[in-house]
Amino acid sequence: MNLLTDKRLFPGIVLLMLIVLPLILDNPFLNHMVIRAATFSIVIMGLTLFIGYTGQISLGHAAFFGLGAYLSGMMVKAGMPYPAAMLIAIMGVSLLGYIVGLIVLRTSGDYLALASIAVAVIIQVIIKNAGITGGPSGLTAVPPPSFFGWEILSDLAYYYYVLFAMVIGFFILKHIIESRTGDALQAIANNELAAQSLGIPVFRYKVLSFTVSTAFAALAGVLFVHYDGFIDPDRLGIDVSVLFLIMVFIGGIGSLYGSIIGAFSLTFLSEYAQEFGQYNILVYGSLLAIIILFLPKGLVDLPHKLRLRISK
Amino acid sequence: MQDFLQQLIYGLSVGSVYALIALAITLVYRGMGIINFAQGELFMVGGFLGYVFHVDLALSMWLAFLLAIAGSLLIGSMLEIVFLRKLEKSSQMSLFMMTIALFILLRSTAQLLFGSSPYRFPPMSDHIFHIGRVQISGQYLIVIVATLITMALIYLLLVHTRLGLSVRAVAQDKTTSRMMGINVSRVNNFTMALAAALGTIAGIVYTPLAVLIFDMGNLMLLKGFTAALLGGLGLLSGAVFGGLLLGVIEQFGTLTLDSAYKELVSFSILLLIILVKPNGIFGKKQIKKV
Repeated sequence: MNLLTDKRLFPGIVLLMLIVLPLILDNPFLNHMVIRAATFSIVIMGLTLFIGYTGQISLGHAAFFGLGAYLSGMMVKAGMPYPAAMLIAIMGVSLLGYIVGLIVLRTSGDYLALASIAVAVIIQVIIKNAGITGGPSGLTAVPPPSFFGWEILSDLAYYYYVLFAMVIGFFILKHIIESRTGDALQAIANNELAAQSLGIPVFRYKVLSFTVSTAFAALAGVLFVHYDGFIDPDRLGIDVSVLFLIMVFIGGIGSLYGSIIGAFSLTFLSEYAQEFGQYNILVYGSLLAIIILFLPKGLVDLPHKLRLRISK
Repeated sequence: MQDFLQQLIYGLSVGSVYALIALAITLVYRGMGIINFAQGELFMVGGFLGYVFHVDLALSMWLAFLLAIAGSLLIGSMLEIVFLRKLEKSSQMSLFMMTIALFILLRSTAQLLFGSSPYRFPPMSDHIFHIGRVQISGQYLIVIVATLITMALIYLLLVHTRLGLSVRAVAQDKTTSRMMGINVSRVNNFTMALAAALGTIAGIVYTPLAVLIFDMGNLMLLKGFTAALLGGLGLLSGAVFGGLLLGVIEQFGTLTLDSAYKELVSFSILLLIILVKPNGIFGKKQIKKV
């Protein structure tokens, strides 16, 4: 019990299990689900930096995710090597994220949420109507990733590849959060005016946080498209952005572990919610409402709440 | 010239629907301090309520209209009690996320009940009006008239009744209102009910011009929000003006653009406003208080 509740040991144990389990279980379905969940974890962690640690809202990240996927997919199909395409996609999307940030971050709170939707809709409409993207039917036959002639073909290899990317992403974000930059971001989340009066350049930090989160969305998009081999404009829509936001909230907005928990639990839930057929979106909505009402700090807070309940 | 007049009437007509939604968004924003993300869905729900009463139950249009409004007042008030009341003292973020949860719940419930295919709402009038050489189908004029009547009623309600006075008081200052003996929760409840009713009026008059479908809410939400922002988000008259202006700009904008890019017009306006005049066209610079 102590082993499971120790804050430093527990994530390590879970990671070890994620590394060893596919070798023992050899369950292709489970591997597939973990690849999906780990891919989403990367967007969600980036979003958590922006939402949880900086106190802002975005409902447009599906567009940055999708744009990253499209850019990388199109470049690799045109014959560019995968690592270069991946890098250019991430840098291109971050550059766009930076510019969009400069525009939309002039507002805050609810305004920002709606401005981010407007940006997402614009990106989506352009991709849907451009010729080179495959239009409404999407980009098909995207090749799997290859590093200098060495291709990642099996699901198991992709599993470790995505898991690796997730862990690296986690440590990069953890580093940012624990640095002085992270302190500044959290000061902004706590009280923007107070932060400003302490001499923190609020706008610049918000743009930075937004740009980093779009880079993570793009990375996840790249990982997504070369695994699925396919993406269509619906993936950029508001439904997906809302799903991302739910993942952020269900896990817990103020924690990177929460992001991973949110991404994994919702990915697995969505698979089992298929049994409810049409009801699955209703399930998400109800779950979100219940979490906000009864567990405002997210699932990551559940053990703590239970302990309080028991010790009462 | 007659073409110009025709386009202008189309623009004003769609613009009045935006104005209704913008009005509802502004009321909730002023009263409860949140952007109601579910406002577009309240519009969609209103359209379906009207459809159920008018087409499924074959009631007359007037009766269906009144019943739908009554139903939506009930729905709005219920949503506030079940989902929002407990969060009155929570953070902005929780409240906003709750309206997103409501967005999902209303939308998926509608999809379950009515399916994913579009419905046709019969127009209230097939009459074609002739103004000079311009032909305007009656529905467009009904939209404008219904909006004008609604606006007048809302104005009377807010300015000349006790309830309206408490709504304005709460919008001005919650704490002081409480001290003056106003039941803020009840006022919030009424505000949500009113927002739902405005959504319903907009939904019923607008859907005959388009189609009725479960996912029509989010575009309308964005347009309503753009309109509210154009007018400065906070001024009721601004919301009305913003709606009409957006409708007209959009109508003339789409004449010159490929229809695939139609939606880009209003969203570019949204971004432009945020960039250039975040407090609306007439807005004064807001001073943030600590």
